[in-house]
Amino acid sequence: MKKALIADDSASNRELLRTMLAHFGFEVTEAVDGLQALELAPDSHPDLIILDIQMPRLDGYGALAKLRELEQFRSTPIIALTAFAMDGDFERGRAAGFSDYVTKPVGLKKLRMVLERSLGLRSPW
Amino acid sequence: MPLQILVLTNRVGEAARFQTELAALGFAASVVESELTEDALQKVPALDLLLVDSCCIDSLASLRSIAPVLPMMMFVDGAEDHEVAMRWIRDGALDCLFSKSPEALHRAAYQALHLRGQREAARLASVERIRAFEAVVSACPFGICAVDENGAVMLWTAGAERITGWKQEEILGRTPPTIPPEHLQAFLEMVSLVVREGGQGWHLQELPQRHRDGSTFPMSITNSAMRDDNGKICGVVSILMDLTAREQLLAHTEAMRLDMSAARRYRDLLEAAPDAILEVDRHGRIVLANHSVKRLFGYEPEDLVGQPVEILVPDHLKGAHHHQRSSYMDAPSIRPMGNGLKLSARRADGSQFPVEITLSPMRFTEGMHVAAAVRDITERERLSEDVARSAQQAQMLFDAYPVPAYVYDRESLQFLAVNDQAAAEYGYSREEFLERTALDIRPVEDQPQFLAAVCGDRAAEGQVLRHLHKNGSLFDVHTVVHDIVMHGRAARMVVAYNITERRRREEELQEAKRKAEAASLSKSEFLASMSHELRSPLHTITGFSELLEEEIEGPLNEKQKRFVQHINRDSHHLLALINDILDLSKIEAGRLEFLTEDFDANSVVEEVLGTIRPQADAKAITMLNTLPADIVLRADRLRFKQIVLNLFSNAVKFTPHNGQIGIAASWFRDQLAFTVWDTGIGIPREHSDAVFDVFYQAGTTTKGVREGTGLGLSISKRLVEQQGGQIWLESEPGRGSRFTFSMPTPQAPPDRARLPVVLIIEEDPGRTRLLVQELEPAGYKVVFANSARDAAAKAIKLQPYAILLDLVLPSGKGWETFEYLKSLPSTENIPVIVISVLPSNSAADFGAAVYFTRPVSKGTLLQALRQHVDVTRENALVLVVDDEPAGLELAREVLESAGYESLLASSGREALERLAQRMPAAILVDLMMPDMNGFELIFRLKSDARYSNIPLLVLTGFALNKSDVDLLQRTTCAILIKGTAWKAELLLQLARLKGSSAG
Repeated sequence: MKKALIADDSASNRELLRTMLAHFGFEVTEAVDGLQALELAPDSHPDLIILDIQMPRLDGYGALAKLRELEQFRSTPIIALTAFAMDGDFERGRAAGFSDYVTKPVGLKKLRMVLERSLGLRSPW
Repeated sequence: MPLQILVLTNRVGEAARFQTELAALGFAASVVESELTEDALQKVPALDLLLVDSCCIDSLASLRSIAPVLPMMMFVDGAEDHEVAMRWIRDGALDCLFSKSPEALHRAAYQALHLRGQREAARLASVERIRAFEAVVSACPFGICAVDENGAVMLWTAGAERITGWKQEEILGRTPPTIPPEHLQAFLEMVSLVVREGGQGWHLQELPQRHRDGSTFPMSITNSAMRDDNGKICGVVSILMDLTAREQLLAHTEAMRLDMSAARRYRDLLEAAPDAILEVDRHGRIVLANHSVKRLFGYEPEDLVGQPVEILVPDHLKGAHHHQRSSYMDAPSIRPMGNGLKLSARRADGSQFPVEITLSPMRFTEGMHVAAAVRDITERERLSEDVARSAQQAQMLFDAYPVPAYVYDRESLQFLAVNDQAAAEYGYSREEFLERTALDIRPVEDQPQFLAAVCGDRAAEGQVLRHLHKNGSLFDVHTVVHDIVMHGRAARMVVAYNITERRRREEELQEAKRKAEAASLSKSEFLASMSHELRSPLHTITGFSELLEEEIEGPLNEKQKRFVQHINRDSHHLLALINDILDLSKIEAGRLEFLTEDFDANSVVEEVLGTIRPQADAKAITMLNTLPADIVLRADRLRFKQIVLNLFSNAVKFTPHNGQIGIAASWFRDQLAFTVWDTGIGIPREHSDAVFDVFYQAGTTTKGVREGTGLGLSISKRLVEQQGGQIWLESEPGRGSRFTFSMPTPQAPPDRARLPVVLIIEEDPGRTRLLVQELEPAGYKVVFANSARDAAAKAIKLQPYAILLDLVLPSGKGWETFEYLKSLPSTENIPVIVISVLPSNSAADFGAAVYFTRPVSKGTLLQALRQHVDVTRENALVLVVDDEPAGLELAREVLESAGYESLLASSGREALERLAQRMPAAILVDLMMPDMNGFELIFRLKSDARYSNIPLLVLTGFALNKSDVDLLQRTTCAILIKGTAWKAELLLQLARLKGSSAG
């Protein structure tokens, strides 16, 4: 079973993402912000990390930078999932080192596309 | 002595020729030749004869003015011409010597010889007379020079030798060498004038003269005519006075007294003096007065002799003068009178005037006399008053100057002057200010720098400095500095602008600018965070509703399913709204940047069609792309795509099942116009502007269509306009809509140069666009003018076939324009079609070619234009092929109203028959026809060499598939879709064909 680490400060967002990822067969570890994601990351061995951008204590960009410093996560898909959708945000996210930069809202269809793009995941159907 | 002859010529060898001729006539002559130069002028006085080449005729008058009696003779290399000779003689030539009349030369030489004899005799006599009192004269401090009527020196006394350094023997027969070359001409003219008209007492003050040693010194020269024994003027006598030696004149008066008889003559010389010169005996009686007393005092000199000198003294000073005169006698010396007091003198009429008097004692055996030189200094006083007045004015200006200004001594730094404004600015009274130094208005820490600067150059002060107020506060000044002399001291004048206020305002501006930038930035930040805040909850709403809809957590009943679908669909609608509002806000905030590039419009349109296809397919709507290949735009590719996508989304949305939508291109002025058309529900004409408003809903007809945000068209309009284009709608309810927008392109529009020009005077941009759309497809090139002058200028330049003038111009200048055009010869014959609100009795009354009363239909207008546009229409036959009689009728109506002749055929077969009879310029083909359909007809035409070159246009209501379109695009000029606004397109295409075939 593939493992995913998600970080989002909103409980409802975490539940939504967890449900959708579970639907695609992921075992999900949840963090409430960037700092907790950093604590949980090494031991949870995620195949995929999804970070919200705007979070207390340590935001998505900060968490990304710290994670990319670790050898373990140098090539792990780390995806930004954010409501920041202005011109230039996508380019900024990619330039910072996110594998993908996905704008909310994200439903099942869109998430599947994202996962396929990042992991080469095939549909379970 | 041989005759001295100068030949004035620019030819070489003339002198030698004359020398030989004169020798043959028995005259000894020294002949030289020269052009008219400074050197030649100097020789003139010593000449006996001047021979002037006819080519130098222009110099004759000026030579005559400096040598009035010198024989001058013109010579000319040619046949005798009495007229010419008379003219030259009138101009001052003695005679005219033609090459064939050598006897004239003989006459001239003889006359010159005679005149020389006369002149020399006269000269000798005069010189003798002057020499008679030379003994006296040579003792004088001034020199005497006598010149003959040609300006040559005859006498140069010892005094003149002393003053000038030149000896008489060096300069006899020459012009005086003391005259600077630039004054020589003036001198010769003066001599000539004296000789011609007489004159005496010409006084020339302070002429710069050249000493023999090369130095220049001031000399006063007084000229009088010199007369021979017969009283005839034979030259000029000049008294030369070294101005530095004026006092010596008085001191040497005594010497003059040695010989009273000589002195009487000598007195004539005194007349030349500009000052009144008086000799007073020890009793105060005037014994001698020169002529200047007449000018100064108004007395004749002889009336003064014997009078007490006090007659010339103002009444109130007479007593004092008496007393002072005696004390001068006790201690006589050469000195100015009055010990520096202002002196005044009394005229014969009792008036007074300011004078300056120099006294000089004259000791005689009979007792002490005093010579007094009295100078009228009225003029000098006036000048010095002027100076004083302007100084006073400068002072007033300084005091009233609205900017602080002050002057300080550069050495002591003490303030010497300060204006009111400075006193106010620095807080001191004027008196307090003047007690201070320039150091006191500076803070202590700036003083060393100031002290360093004040010694150095003044540039150090032309800068922004801090100055100190009396109350200890500092303020910023900008200083402008001038070094001046005041009260004989090196001083510095400073104008100090207080710029504290200006600085404060600059800072405020900076602050305001910063705030504005911050506000603008925060607007962007606000947009970004609003987007974020709206998106976040939407994310969970759509996400969870989608999860429910997918029944991932278990099945829903039908009702629950429907509810969830409602939530899902509306939240997607909400998302679309948010996206559009953000787009619109960005445009409104000017935050949208356009990335302009050249790109192929076709590729973008294909992408859009790909996106739209699923929706179109779902409604079985046919999509037609009739864009020609290679359309390049210069715009923002993504924004262009957004516009096209938006228009196509609307087209699909509002077109019923089995309808058609499509895109076509045309030219709109110098931009490419794209028309997205549909066969949908259409929009009422009165809404054609309102559709572009935010949240426009097209009334009841759009009910049930929920996908739109109502913002797409307003976004599109802004995107178009911000890229320099226009967007508009033509629609007919129930028949469909055409949205057209124009975009900049690097491509050039088709050449319309050969189309007939119609000049339209129109001020309203909306009307101009409408007129272009109506007239250009009909084959006219439309040019607009917005004023009478503009119209006249364009009419003259373009010579239009007709001018269309709406009398009801917003500026109210309709009539004026009309009359102006009719008043100019180059525009009066151009037919003017007048449109007015008032009926006219007779257009001919005022010269309009056609007069319309509003409203005017397009057809009427075009018909009127056709009457006045003399265009050859031999290629204007159009064959129309359509099986429906109504279709044929409509096509004929459209074609004929635009001035084309139509040939009708109701089937393919009939079309071929018609073609055998007449050759049309173009063929308009319907596709759906029984027996032979359009495709077949086109195929036959294209494969028949007789007809393959006739341009084909397709008009169809037939649903075309992609391969149909491809085929038609290859074989025809245009694909026109029935039910859309195809008529304008048809006329435009025909006009284009006509334009190209004319070339």
